Amino acid sequence: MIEIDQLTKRYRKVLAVDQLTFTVRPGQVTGFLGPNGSGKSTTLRMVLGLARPTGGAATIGGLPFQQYGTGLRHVGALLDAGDLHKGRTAQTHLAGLARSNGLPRRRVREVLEQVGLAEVAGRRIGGFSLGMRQRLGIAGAVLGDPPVLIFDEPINGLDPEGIRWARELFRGLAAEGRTVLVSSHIMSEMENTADHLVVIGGGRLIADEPLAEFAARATTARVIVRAPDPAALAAVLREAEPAADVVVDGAEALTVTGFSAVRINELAFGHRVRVYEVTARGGSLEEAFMDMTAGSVQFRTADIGGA
Amino acid sequence: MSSSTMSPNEAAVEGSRAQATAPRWRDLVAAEWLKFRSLRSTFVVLAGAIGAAFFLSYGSAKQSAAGWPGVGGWMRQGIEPAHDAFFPPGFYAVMIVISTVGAQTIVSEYASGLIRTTLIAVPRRGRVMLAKAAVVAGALTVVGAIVTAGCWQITLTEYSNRITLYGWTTPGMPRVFVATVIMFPLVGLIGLAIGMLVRHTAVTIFALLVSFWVMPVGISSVDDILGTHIFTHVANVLPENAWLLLTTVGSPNNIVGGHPSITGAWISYTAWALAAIAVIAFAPRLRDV
Repeated sequence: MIEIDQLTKRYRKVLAVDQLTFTVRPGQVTGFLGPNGSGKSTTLRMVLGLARPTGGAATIGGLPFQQYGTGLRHVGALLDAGDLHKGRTAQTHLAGLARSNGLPRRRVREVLEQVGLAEVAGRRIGGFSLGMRQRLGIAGAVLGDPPVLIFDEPINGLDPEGIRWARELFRGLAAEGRTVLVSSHIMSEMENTADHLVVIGGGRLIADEPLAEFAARATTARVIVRAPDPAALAAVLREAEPAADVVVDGAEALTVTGFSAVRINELAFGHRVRVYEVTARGGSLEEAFMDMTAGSVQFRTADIGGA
Repeated sequence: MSSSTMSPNEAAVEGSRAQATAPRWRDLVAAEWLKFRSLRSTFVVLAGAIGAAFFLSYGSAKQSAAGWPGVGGWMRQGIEPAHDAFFPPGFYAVMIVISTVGAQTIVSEYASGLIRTTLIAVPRRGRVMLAKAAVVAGALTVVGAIVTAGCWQITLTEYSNRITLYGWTTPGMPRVFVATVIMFPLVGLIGLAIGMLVRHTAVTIFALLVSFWVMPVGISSVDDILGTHIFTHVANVLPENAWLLLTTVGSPNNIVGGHPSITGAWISYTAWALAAIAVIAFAPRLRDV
């Protein structure tokens, strides 16, 4: 169990993590979601004692992580697949970690086989692809057979087969009763992996709920309308429902939230505004996530195509 | 998916019972030793340093032997065999290389990000770093012994039957050997401590260059320019000057400029070692990585 209580991290003027409170429970995969720069990695680094919180606390199994003597036996973590020395071989890298925790040498071979790197065990890590390094990082995380596992964006660089493998591994670890926290900035990665979601944006907690509940929110359907004079239609819609969100997308299109496709058709007909096409778009998890975090995205690309 | 191969409660209970046990020193030192010896670059650098030290001994001893017939009676007492075996400016350069080996063990971890993996595996930072220090000190002591023995043998060989005043058992030589061997782990630890504070490869090497070459060779000359004594005192505190005195077999007056006493020199060695170890044990606790 990972408990995060009022956790805060401030770097000079930037508030990276702002009074974050949530609990990660055993027996399920918890997805930790947020856009780039939302504070996910900073949070995980504080949980793992690598960064000192400005305020609040984080505990694993009731204790701050720094109080554990041999970390690998209690918490397995992969923060960044690049966190290793490229001059060593996969085997030596893991052997050093295993030795530091007093783990038997055979664990190295076992985990290398588990992640599918047994054949390249004697090769230098410098020649590994990102996907192979992710696998090596995962091997390091499971080395000590820990009850708590933390993975920061572990899917990056994995091929489709690797993604499926990683997903099954995470689910398997959770099914064994372990606490599994997997972070990502891509919602779709979580759709088939996580049971529970913790969503943050701008360092603040946005959602902490089961995946099913989160998915239920994803019904904010949008309607895409193609019309020769979108501005005229927009005026009609805004007049009919001032709270609705009507966005003119280019010369011939409108994106409308808060109206059904049928209602838009009726209004257009009633006001004699010509419409070419009215398409209802069902909300997806990805969209629910985008909507929720929209206000907190740090590195937004410039709006193209006018508002 | 519902069958458990390992009960979560069991795992948790086992976890809380084992939490208080600190990582064993034996395991940490073994792990750091594995990391130290598994990098080819370390061996290349150390082999280069040993080779350079041997070559410097060969060069200066040969020169002394060649000039020996021309050295008049009382002047012969003034020769410093240890400073042929370990020609000081060259020896300081070798010390810079040795100190970078110590520094690299930590700087490479910070530069690559391995430090995070290391500290997730063993959250007790002080212990990890002290284990690293033990490995650096141990390995460099062996290197120091090889260099010391090798250089002295080369010197004796070059002196051959021309300069016959010295041998392995000449009075005063044990102190030379001990002081020189210890210099290796000492500068390795200082390098490790500086690397830990600086954490950046290029800046670390610059800092080591200044502290092991510019400072001992150049700093006391500042006094000559300013007509003061203060910089001589600073120079005396440096490990090189302590080493210079400890390796002087003849009269200490052979050394130009100020110098500490023999006791002062050993105190200087000890103080530097303790200061380096204190930095190594405590500095990493304060930092985010």
